[in-house]
Amino acid sequence: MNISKKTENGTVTFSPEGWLDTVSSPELGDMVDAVTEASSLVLDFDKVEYMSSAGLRQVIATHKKAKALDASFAVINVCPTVMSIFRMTSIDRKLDIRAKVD
Amino acid sequence: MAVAFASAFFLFLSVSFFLLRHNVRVEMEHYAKSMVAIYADLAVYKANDLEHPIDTSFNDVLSFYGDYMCTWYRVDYMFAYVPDIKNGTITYLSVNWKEKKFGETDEDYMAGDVEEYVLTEEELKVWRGEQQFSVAKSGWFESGTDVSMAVDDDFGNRAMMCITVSISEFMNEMMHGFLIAAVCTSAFIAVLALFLYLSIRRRVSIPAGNISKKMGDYISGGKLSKVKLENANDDEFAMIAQSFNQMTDDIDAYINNISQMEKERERQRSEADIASRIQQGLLSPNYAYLRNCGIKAVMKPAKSVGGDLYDYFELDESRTMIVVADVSGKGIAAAILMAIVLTLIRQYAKIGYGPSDILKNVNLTLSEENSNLMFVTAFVAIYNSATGKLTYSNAGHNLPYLIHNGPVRLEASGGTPLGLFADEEYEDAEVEMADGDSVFLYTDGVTEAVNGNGEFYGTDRLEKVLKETSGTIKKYYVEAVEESLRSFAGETEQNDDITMLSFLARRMPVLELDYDVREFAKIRECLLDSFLPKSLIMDLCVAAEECFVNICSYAFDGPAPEGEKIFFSLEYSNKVVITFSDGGRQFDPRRDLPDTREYDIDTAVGGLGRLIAFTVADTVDYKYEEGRNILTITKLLIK
Repeated sequence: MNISKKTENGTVTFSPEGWLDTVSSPELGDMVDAVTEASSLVLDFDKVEYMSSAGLRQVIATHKKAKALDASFAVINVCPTVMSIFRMTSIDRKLDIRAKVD
Repeated sequence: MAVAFASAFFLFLSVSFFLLRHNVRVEMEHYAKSMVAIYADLAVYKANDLEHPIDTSFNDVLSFYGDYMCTWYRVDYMFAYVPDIKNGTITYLSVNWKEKKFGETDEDYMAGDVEEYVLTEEELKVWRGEQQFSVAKSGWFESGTDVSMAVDDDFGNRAMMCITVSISEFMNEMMHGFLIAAVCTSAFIAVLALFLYLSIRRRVSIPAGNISKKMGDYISGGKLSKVKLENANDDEFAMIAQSFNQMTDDIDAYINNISQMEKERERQRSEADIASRIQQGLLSPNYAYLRNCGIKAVMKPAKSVGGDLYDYFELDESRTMIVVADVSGKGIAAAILMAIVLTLIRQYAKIGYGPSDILKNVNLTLSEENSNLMFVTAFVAIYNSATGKLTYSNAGHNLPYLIHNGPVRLEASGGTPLGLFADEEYEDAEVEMADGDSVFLYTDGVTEAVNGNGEFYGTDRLEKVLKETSGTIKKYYVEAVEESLRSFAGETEQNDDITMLSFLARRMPVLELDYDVREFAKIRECLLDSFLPKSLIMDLCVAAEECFVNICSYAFDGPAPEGEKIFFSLEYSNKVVITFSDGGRQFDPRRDLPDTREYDIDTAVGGLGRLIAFTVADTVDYKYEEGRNILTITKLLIK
C-alpha cells in the first residue's frame, strides 16, 4: 500500500491510497506508531476507496496516538463508501470525521 | 359624438332649407305669374275703358295699380315698358317698387325714360307672342323671380308687363313657421334621444357591462359565472346574454370534458405504467451470476410496453437455458403475446424439452389460434457446463454471436418465425464453448437503431464493439453496446425495442482458501469480476472480508491442519448469496455483537468487524453441519 506522510507546522498528515483492508492496514499503523511529536494528526482519505474494520481499527489507533501526544485528530476527505462504515459503527459521532466535499 | 350630432343636424337643416326654398320659388313663380296677369288685365281693362292706349301717358293708371300691388301684394318691382328691338333700348311706361311711398314719384325711373336694354331670348319670344311668360331669376343669391308678359290693348299698342317678386317676402313667413317646427322637432328629438339613451342604458349598456365584467373576471382567472337576465327582456341583448349564459354552460361542459379526458388519459398512462412494470416483472433480473454462467441483459421498449423478451434460468445443476425473442408489432398487443410466449417457453423448458422441441411446441400452440397473424422470432439455447456444449435452435431470429477471441455468428439452424406455419419443423445445432466464452444475443432493434441522420447502427458497428470488448478483462458486452448505441443515436427516439443478452460460460466460483488473511485478495478478485454494480461490490467485500478474517483468526488455536481449507462461493440472480464453509471450532458469529451506542472506542477490542458485516448484509445465516461452520450472507438485489 502506498501511504505518503507530510509534516507541516506540527501537523502530521498521512495519505493512504486504495484499499484499507486487513492486509494493508497494519502498514498505516506502523507509520503512525513512528510519530513522536505532533500538534495535530490528520488522516487524509482522499484516495481511500475501501475500508474494512481493520482500517477502522487503525483510525481508532491513530486517535489514541493523538491523545497520547496531546495532539488534535481528524480524518478528512472521506468518500461515501468509507463514510458508511464510520456511520454504521457510530465512529463518526465520536471522532472528527469529515466527508469529501465535491 | 356631440359634434357629429350637431353636424348631422346642421346638414339636415340645410337640406330642409334648400328643399323649402325650391318649393317657395315654385310657389313664387305661380304667384308672380298671376300677379303679372292681373296687372296686365287691369292695365288693358283700364286702357280700353278709358279709351286711352297704353303708352307713357298711361303711367298714372299703371302707377296707381303698381303702387297698390307693391304695397299690399308682396311685389318688389312692377314695371311696364315698350322695347325698341332694333336699337336695343326700352322705354318705360311705368315703374313701381315696394319701398316707394304710395303715389310718390321717383326722379330715377320715370315714365318715358329710355334705357339701353337688350331683351333676353325668352323676353323676345314673349314679345313676339310665341309664349305667354318669360321667367328669370334675379338679384342677390337669385332671391328674386322676374316674370314678363306682353299685353295688347284695343288700340293696337303692345307693352311688356314685368314683375319681380322677392323670395325674402315669402321666406320670412316660411322661416317663422319653419323655426317653430325646427324647435319643436329638436325638442322632440332630444326627448327621444334621452328616452333612447335610458332605454339603451338599461337594455344594452348595463347588460353589456355586466357581460364584459364577467368575461374580464373569467380572463383574469376567475370562474365563469352567468349574467343575470332582466325578466321579460326579449331583445337582441337578452339574446346575447342568453347566448353568453349558454356559452358559460358550454365552456363549463368542455372544461369538465377536458378534465374527464385528462383523468382518463392519466388512468391510461398509469395503466401503461403498471403494464410496463408487470412486463418488466415477468422478465428475469437483468443480471445474474448462476452456478455455471454469468448473464447480463437489457430490454428497452420503444413504447412503455414492448414486444421483446429475454429469459434465462437454470434447468438443473449444469444446464441453463437462454432465450431472446421479438414479437411482431408493438404496444399492448405485442406485450400480451410476449407474456404468452415467455410463459410457454418456460413451461416447455421445464418439461425437459430441448431448444428445437420448445420452438416446435410454442409454434404449434401459437399457430392454432393466431387469427391476427402475429408472429414471433426467437432464439433458444441451452448451455451444459458439464459438456461445455451450447445447443440451440432458431425461429427466424437474428443469429447471435459466439465470442471466443472475437465475435463469430452462430451457424443457422431452425425454422420460420413462430405462429405462422403449424407444421414447421425446427432443428437443433451444437457448438463448443470454452470456459470464459460468451454468446451475445440481440434483437433487430439494436442493428436497426437510427441516429439523427436516419442511418442504421448496423452489424459492422456491433461487431466492432464486440471485438473490442472481447479483448478486455471484463466481458461487459451489453454495457459496451449500450454505450456505443447511446453515442450513435444520441437523443433520437427509437422505433423498435432494444434487447440484448450476453451469456458468459463460467463455472461457479468455489474458492478453496488457506486460513490466511492474505487469501482475501482472491475473494476480492472474484467479487470484482462479477457483473454486480460497483457500490454493491464494495459492501459485499466488507462483509466478506470481516467474515473471512474472523474465520482465519478464531477457527484454530494454532495453524490449521494440513489440507484444511475455507470454501467460498458466490451466486446471484435476484439476490447475492456468499457462503463460507470452514472446519474450525464451532462459532456462531451472530452471538455477542457489540452495541454501537455503548461502544467505547478507547477500551473495546473486537466485534466491530462482525458488526459491519451484519449491518451491510440483509441476512446472515449460520449452521453447523458435519463438523463445518456454514455461514451464508445474503444481499437482496433491487431491480
